[in-house]
Amino acid sequence: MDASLFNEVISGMGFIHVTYGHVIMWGIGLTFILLAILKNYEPLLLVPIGFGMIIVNIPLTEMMKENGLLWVFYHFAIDKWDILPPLIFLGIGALTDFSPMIAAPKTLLLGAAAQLGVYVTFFGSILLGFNLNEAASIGIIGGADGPTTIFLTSKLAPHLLGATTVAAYSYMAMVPIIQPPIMRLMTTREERLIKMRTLRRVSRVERVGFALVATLIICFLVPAAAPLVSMLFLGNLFRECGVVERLTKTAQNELINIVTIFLGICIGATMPAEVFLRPQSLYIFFLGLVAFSFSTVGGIILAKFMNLFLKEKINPLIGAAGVSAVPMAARVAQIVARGENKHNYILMHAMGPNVAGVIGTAAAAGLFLSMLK
Amino acid sequence: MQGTNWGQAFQVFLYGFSGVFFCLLILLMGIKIFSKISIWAQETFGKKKAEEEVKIPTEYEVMKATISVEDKLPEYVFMIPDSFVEYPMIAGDKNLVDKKEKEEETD
Repeated sequence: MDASLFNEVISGMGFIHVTYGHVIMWGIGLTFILLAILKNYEPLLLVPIGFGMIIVNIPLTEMMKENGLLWVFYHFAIDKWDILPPLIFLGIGALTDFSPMIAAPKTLLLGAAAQLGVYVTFFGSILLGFNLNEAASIGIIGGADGPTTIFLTSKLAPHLLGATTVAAYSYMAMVPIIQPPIMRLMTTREERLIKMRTLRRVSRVERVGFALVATLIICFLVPAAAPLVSMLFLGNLFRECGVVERLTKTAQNELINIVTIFLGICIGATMPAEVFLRPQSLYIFFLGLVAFSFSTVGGIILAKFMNLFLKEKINPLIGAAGVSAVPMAARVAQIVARGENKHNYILMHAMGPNVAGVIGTAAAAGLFLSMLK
Repeated sequence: MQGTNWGQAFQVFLYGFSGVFFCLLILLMGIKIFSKISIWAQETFGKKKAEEEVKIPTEYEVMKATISVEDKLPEYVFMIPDSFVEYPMIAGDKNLVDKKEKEEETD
């Protein structure tokens, strides 16, 4: 018996090298998977993220070492080319109806105001010791837009990708818990009872034209946001033009599903114990919550301010939907409004700031990129 | 913290937040202008086109068409469904409807 060969075989097994950090990360990964299965929290993302976290923390697999499987996924899909977030935006565009925003364009301003959390958190992050690039990547969590968070973080602070993405998607799943208390605190009962007139019907010509006009305007003003915005409106053009049904269905289903698989597993793979288990990650989770809260407040405050000048008052609750967790934030606004009067339907009105928030967050990311890269 | 460039941080905040508002404000104006143009175009050109394409038949034309078809089809074809009762003239035969209603009342 060759003892040295036996020792080599044993030392080549992963369990010999397991650390407390690995075990904790398996626990977190397993928690994500269980949350997805049992509570239905963002299952499409939490399952691959959780699984990615587990396998990247198995010692000696070297999946994230150069030319390892997960390294190849991550390197080419996010780190080098950064194509996954724009492809997700293509699918989101194909799934999104911008009619409520076209019918009431003033709701675009609510989408802009809801970026308040992004910039408040930007400063908060600097105070906690992060540099400007890291602070921007953490602040963008307040936009409540996962793909934009990934897009910006992978360019400005790739070492924070795992923590910022998980924070963004976790808080998006927790919108129904985080937002209602803030909404009730920031509004009076009379304001929550405001009924809004039914939105006008938007013609197909307007919807098709909007996709083209919006692409031109945003890409001219913030060229750095072009990868996200152009894909978003290409997907929307597929949907609205009505002549490329096959492409629309592919963008809405197969494409977005394939991209989601790779996105989830890549994000999970960026969380080895030695990178994730640091005080920084806790700060990022805390700051993400601050960002979400301030974004909600920003939208509501602007809605109240607009009511000082508008003849037809708007229900300030729709301002909270300016965080771009589509359509969850709009649904939450509807639920809170119906809590006061069950005949008050503001869902379609809330969809306006909700989709405006997607554009606003993409513009904010583009502006960060143009100023900090 | 010590190495933080606060001047740049304030600039990023100022230009960033106001930049988002500016972008969406321009988009707002773009949408408003485009919507007005497209609504005007649809009202001006779309209406004329619609009037030309969808010519609403006169009462005489409907009756004439019905009578000509009635000659070739058995009577049960003209038993008008309930949903058409509100629009007897469009259905084609008002007398038949009245007759049917009277019969039902008598029964």
